[in-house]
Formats: sequence, C-alpha cells, structure tokens
Amino acid sequence: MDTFINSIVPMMTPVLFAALGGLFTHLSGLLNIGLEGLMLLSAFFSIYVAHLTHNLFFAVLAGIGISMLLAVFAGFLSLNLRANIFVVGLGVNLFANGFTVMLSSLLFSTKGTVFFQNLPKLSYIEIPLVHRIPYLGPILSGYGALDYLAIGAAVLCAIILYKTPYGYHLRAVGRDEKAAQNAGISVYWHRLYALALSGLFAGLGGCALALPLQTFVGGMTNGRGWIALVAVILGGGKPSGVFIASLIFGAASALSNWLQASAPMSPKLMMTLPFLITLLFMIVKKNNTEEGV
Amino acid sequence: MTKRRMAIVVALISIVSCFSFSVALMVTGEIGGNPIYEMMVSGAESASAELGFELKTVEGGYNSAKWESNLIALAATGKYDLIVTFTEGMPKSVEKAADMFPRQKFALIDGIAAIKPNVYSLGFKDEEMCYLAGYFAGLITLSDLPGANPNLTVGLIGGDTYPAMTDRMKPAFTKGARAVHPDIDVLFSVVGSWSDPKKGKDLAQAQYAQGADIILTIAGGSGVGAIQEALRLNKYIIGVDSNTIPLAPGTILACALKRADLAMNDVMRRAFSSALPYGATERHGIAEGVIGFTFDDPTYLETIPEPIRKQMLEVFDALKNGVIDPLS
Repeated sequence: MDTFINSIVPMMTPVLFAALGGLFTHLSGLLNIGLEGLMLLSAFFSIYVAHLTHNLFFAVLAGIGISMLLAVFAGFLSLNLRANIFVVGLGVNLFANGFTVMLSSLLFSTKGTVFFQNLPKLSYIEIPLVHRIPYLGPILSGYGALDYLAIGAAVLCAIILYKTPYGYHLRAVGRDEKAAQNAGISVYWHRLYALALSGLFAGLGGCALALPLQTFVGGMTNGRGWIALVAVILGGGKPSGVFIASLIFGAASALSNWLQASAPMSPKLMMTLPFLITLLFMIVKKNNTEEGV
Repeated sequence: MTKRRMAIVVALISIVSCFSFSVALMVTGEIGGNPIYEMMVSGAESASAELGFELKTVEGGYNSAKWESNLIALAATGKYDLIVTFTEGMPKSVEKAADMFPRQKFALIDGIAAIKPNVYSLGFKDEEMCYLAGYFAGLITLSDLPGANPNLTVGLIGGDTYPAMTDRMKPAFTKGARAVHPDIDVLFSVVGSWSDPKKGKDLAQAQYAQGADIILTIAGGSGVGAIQEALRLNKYIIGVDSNTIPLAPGTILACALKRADLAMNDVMRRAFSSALPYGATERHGIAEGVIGFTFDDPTYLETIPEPIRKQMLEVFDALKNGVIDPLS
C-alpha cells in the first residue's frame, strides 16, 4: 500500500512541472502548446550532459537551458514576427521530435533507446523526523529531489502570481491586452517572460522524466506535455487547480497501473482510467466551486 | 579485334544481367535502434554478400501510412525479382500490392498474409519464445535466488495489446509458468506505447509490489524503465528478441531470442535458388533454429544454478521435438 501511495507523486511530477509552465503562458494570453516538445528536448539534453559531465546539476541546467532557449525563440517568432502561437507550438513539438532522434543517431549512433547504467542517480530523500511519523511519514517522505522541487515550485508560482506586482501585471496582460498597455504594462515583455518560464518549467519536467530513468527514448514524453495543457485548463488557470489536476492525474495513473496488473479487465480499458477520473473529478470540482474562471 | 572483344563483353553483360537476381527490402520504420530490424537487415545483407545478388534496402520511416505506398511503388518499378517486407502490420498491404501486381513476387516475414500465388509468408512461433520465458520465470520464482520471493507470482509487461500478444504470447507465457507450478499467478500489464520508459518503470513497480519477482518485458524502449526498477529493487527481468543481458547482468537473467537474421537469410537463400514456396505460409520456431535462448551467455552460466539450466535445456528440446504444445 505504501508503494502505491508513494508512486503517485513521481507520476505527477513531470506533468505538474510542465503544467506550471503552461499556466504562465495561459495567464499571459499566449498559450504555449509546445510543452511536449520542450520536455522532450530537455529530456535528451539532460541525459546527454549527465553522460558527459557526470554531474546532475549541470544536467538539469542543460535541460532547462535548451528548453528556455527554444521557448524564447518561439516567443520571438510569435511576438516579433507575428506568427500564430499555435502553429509555432506545433512546430516546436515536431522539431523536438525529429531533432532529438537525429542527435541521438549522431551522438549515440542509435535512433532508439539511449541507456546509461553509470550515470549519477537522483537519490531518494528522507525528510528528517517527518519520515518517522506513523502512517503519514512514508507518504510525505522518500521522494526524489525533483519531486520536492515540483511541489515547492507550485507554491512558489502561487506566490508569484498572487503576491507580486509581476503576477498582477501578467494576469492583467492576459485579461485585457489594451487595458494593460494603457496602464503602462509591457505586453511584449510579459508574454516573453511567460514563455521563458514555460521553457524553464517544461525543461524541469523533461529532467524529471529522463534523469531518474537514466534513459532517453525518442518520443518518451508520450503525451505528457498535452496532459499538462489539459491540467492547465482543468485547473482553471490557478496554481492550486493545476496542482490538484496534476495530483489527480498522478493518482489515477497509479491506480490504473495497480489495477492493470491483477484486475481481470481489459488493459485497454484500464489505460483510459487516468483520463476519465481526472475529467470527472474536475467536472465535479467545477460545479462545487461555481465561480471557475 | 577490339570490336570482337567489345561484343563479347556486351554479350557477357547481357547474359549476367538476365540471370542476376535482385531483391528489394522494405523496412517498416527505420533500421537503427530496433534490434529485430537490425537483425533482419544484417541477415539480408549477409545473404546478398554470400550469393552475390543485388539488394536494395528502403527505410519506410516512422509514418506507417506511407509503408503501403512505398511497397506499391517498389512493385511498380518492376525492377525486382522479389520484394521482402516484415512485421505484423504489413499483411494487408502485401495482399493489396500482390493483387495489383500479380507477376511480382513478395515475401512477408514475421507476419502471415492471406494465401496468394505470388506471396510467401513466414511467421515466427512467438508462443515457443514465450513458453520458454514463462517456464524460466516459473523456475526462478520457485528458486532460492536472492531476489526471488515465495509469492508464486510472475509478471508480463507488453508494449501494446495486439493479436499475437493476447492470443499467443500471454497464454504461452502463462502456460509455461504453470507447467512449473500450477498455482503460479501471472500479472499482465500493457504500456500502450513502445517508447515510454517512465510508464514501463511505473508498471514494473506495481507488479513487483504485488509480489512478482521476475517480469518478462516485450515492450521495446518502454522495457528499459522496467529494467531500471528491477535494478533498484534487486528483482529480475527476462528480455526478448536479442540478447540484452549485458545491459544489466544479474538483473536481466535470460533472454528468449528471435533469430530474425537467420530467418531472413534463409528466405533469401531459398528465393535465390528458386526454392521458396510462393502461395504458401510457414511458421518457424525452435526446430528451425529461429527461436533460441541465451544458453551460452557467460553471465547466464554464472548466475543461473545448474539444475535450472538443465531443466531449461530439457524444455527447449521438448518444444523442439513437439512433445510440448506451448498453447493448449
């Protein structure tokens, strides 16, 4: 049972990171649908740099760096050259898909699986004292550093969005571009910042996906960037909502994995469970809170 | 004098070109990174080098919608004596191309097309491969190896559900395991993707937590995640297709092998000597040398206790001689 509960958070982490990134762009009024591609690119580069330097810090930095670079480039295309953000986002996804496979074949001479046994491992951290609390301890403690960081990032995002001038300005830009402009807020810069942040968080999502596995496989994000977008929308554009949507998705995935192994039901049906549960839960939640966004 | 020499050369060239045999190999995807595809192509290349016929390899790319039109385009050139393609996704496309070009010969490997006078199909006995893996899993779960537990539970993780998986591989794996001990439970999970190692790891975690101590992975790149989880928990994995034991010696205990290179080489040889029975289908397995097991791997010899290795050899021979039916 502990294993089941403990498996929820690591399943949530990549999606939560990417969803936080998507949240900023959503609030700025320029939704970045390229999260999937940014994650994939970051996954590849984090593994590559971890392989080169044997240093996890540099690996994460490389993953975030390349992801932010591409996100800002997408911002340049969209904001300076007036390209449609959806087309740019799709372009990012297609580019990342092909580019990582190409690099993988050039650098590792395989288009398939890149697998390193000797990479530094992300260790599991037991929080002192907390992990000794009966019942709650095993649930709250014993995750990887990136898992804690994801939850911390969700809190940080809530603070940034609701307690800082930047947060107010960003939301103002998303609500009404003209009004924000008249109030002297730079629409251009706030949107570019939002895209850069989406790169940062999607990059962390890619690291959280690839580094614990010490593996890169072409297309390994397998739709998590799109799930993150769904979490942004279902979460009503709020960090708390995004967190809950990601957590429900993680829990539903864990449940589906658990049931698949032993339940005498069609595995195909079981695979739809995470999506079904997330959707149903958010519909119920929406009806209860009434206001939504 | 020179004119006569020229004439002889021209005559020779025309004679050679009349008899020269040329084969097109249509790869459903890309060769790199897929062990089975690499084996298929190397089998074809070695046959071409040994017998001296022309071989043209065409990579179909990852867009499966294009494979059929690639196949038809190859047939339309009329340049090839034989067009070879492979995998379970291709029977319908081969049938269509064979109907459009009745004088073109086709060979389908690792898949069975409907009977056509110009098509030869060679399937693999995946059930023998999975029975071997199941029997081995049963022996390991009952053994006193450090990672084995007394739960009588083994696992199977598949990349996807498809007819060969649900009708032959899973039943044969289950039957193999239960031949060791009738009470063995088989957990079955499906990733839904051949390239999602994270999901592969999560599914393996769930199976190990539910008491499995050894898992057969037939999941391509997703299987790597399961190997990682096995390494973390000191549990066991059985691989398929090619020998992956060196990836994680001591964790990947054994692999059931599919010698696609031998099968491809054999088909090409028979086609070259006009001995390929077009209009027929065949299924090859252990008896034909296409399905194997990592009996000779040094790590296998080192990590697996002798009685288990002996029992595996006995089952291997029983399957080979048809004493055991891997499916009921």
